[in-house]
Amino acid sequence: MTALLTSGHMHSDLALIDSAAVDPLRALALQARAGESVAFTKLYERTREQAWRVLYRVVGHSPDLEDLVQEAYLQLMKALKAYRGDSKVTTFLHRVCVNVGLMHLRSKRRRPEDPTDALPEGETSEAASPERAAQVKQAALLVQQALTMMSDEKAQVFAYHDLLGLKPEEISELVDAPVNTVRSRLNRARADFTVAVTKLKGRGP
Amino acid sequence: MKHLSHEQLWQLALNGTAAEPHLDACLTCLSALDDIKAAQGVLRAMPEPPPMPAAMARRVEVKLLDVLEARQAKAWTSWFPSMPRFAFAAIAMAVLVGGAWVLAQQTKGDEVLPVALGPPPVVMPASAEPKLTATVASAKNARSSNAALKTTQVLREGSSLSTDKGGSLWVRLPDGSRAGLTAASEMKLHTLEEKTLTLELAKGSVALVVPHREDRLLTVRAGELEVRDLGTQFLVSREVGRIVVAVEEGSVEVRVPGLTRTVRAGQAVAYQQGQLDELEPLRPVPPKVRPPPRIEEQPAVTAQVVAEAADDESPPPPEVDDPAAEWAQAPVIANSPAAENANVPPMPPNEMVTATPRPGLSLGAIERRVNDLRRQIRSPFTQGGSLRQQRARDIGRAADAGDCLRAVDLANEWLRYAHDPPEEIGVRREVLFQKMRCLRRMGRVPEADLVRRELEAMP
Repeated sequence: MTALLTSGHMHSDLALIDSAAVDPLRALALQARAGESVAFTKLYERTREQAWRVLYRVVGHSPDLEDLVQEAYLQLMKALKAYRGDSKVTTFLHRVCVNVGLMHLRSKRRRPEDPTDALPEGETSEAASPERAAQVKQAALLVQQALTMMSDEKAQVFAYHDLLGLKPEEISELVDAPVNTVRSRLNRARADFTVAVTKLKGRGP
Repeated sequence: MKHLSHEQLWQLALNGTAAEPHLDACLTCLSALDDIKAAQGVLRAMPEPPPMPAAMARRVEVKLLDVLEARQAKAWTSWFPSMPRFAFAAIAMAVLVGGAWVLAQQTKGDEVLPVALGPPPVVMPASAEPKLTATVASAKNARSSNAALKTTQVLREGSSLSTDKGGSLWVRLPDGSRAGLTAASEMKLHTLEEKTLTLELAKGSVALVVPHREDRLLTVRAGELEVRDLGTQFLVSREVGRIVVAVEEGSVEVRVPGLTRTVRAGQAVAYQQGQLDELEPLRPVPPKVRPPPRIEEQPAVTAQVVAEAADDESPPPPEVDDPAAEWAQAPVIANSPAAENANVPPMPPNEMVTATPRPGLSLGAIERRVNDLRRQIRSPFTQGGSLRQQRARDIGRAADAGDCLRAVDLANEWLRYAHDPPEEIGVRREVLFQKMRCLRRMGRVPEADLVRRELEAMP
């Protein structure tokens, strides 16, 4: 993850201006919040890869990815109204993307399976070997199903840590909870994930 | 025996089990460890995300742009949903009830207090003056309501006239004045009454040859600018963002909001940005090179003959008994200095010899005149930063209002004079964005893509 942003909680306008000057993403977010459409599109251009990676990690190689990226940015557009410039823009983006992805998985679980709900294998980067491709597909499917079997809180923390590789300190900011709470929630999430995978693989009770 | 926690087992699965003797004796923990290893294996098998496909990124961007546009457009009316709908309903109801009550009171009053019967009220028409007509003097690629115009065709009040590219149109107004519409112009005969003649120029240029008469008012409107004749030959040209008035002879009164100004022969003014600025003094339009008629060989001609001999774009000949029109069509005398030297002022009416159409009045010459004037106008886009920023905001406003054609025109103009000082980069980006947005909205996708690439290449 790009470590472009400075951390800290700065609430004065001067501090915001300073931080915006240091952090181009933050400056863009503040401009976008003020209604500058150019700034928002610029923000999209600079962060779309991150959003794409997060959503890809959560929902896998899905034909819905395009809609999900769009939905994530629409959510971001709304979320920016409350953005004060005192947190990382990528924090906002990660939170929004993970929520959008998890919501999609849950809604997908509720509706009947669509046989066309997968992209052709040729488009995946892992499709060099058929075995590897099947393995990858199976793993992604298991993870997605396991995530839908977990509570929202646990699924979020698990996705942040074990799918996106964020540190507990970063997750603490994302979920607005103390680091220790994040750690204990992560342990419970991992336990749930293990149970879910075991069950899904048919080895469980 | 106390079992290992899930956290410990997770770490053991990650780092290896060699250091944990408990696992040798506890099948429960060993089994749990196997499950955790399997779960971790699933996570490790997760595919690495490939880069986002460029086409997909573009599609999402386009969709987001559409949403942004819709939100901006909605922002103008965002107060509406914020106001409770029952409040609207209540206001509407109050208006209806109030209106009904007033009507009821009037009816009741009529019943109780009958008024003495008098003469029936005279219903006055919107205008007491009888409506007159104009006629087409000459037309080339000109139309009214999508029908091609023909010479001598009668035009009624309210007619909208237009010329195509390369077209021209001369219209004889009821008072003997003539209005010449240059190529790609649009004009409406707004009012044709004995005392009021009003033309509305929508776009392009119109030249007027007007005998001054105190008993009627001839006005040309172009947007919020109004030109009133004071006996003259003048032209009004309207394009995006500015209007030019040039007076060839006589004078006109130019009215814009908050200002009235007399423009005299040889003067030209431009109205833009709410300001009326004077342009450089006009130079006479050089006549077309054509062999001048020789007086001794050419007998006095009738108006009809002159009309046939004249350039297609020249104004129609004056009526023989119309001295004002004769004035308007000051002649060129064979071998006269006026024909040889364009800088000599026009010949006064009392020196007329024959009624040859005045060369400076051909619509082609008028178009050249307009182009000259446009070149003289200092474009507002070339001025200082704040004005350019103001113009950039105008572009945004035009785009928001859905006037994409104007927005693109303004954007092109803005960009033509852009020299990219560091403080202008952001504004330039905004202008390019608005241009791209409008081009997309107009379906000019390839052009929009070019602008998009330009935007992407910007720092």
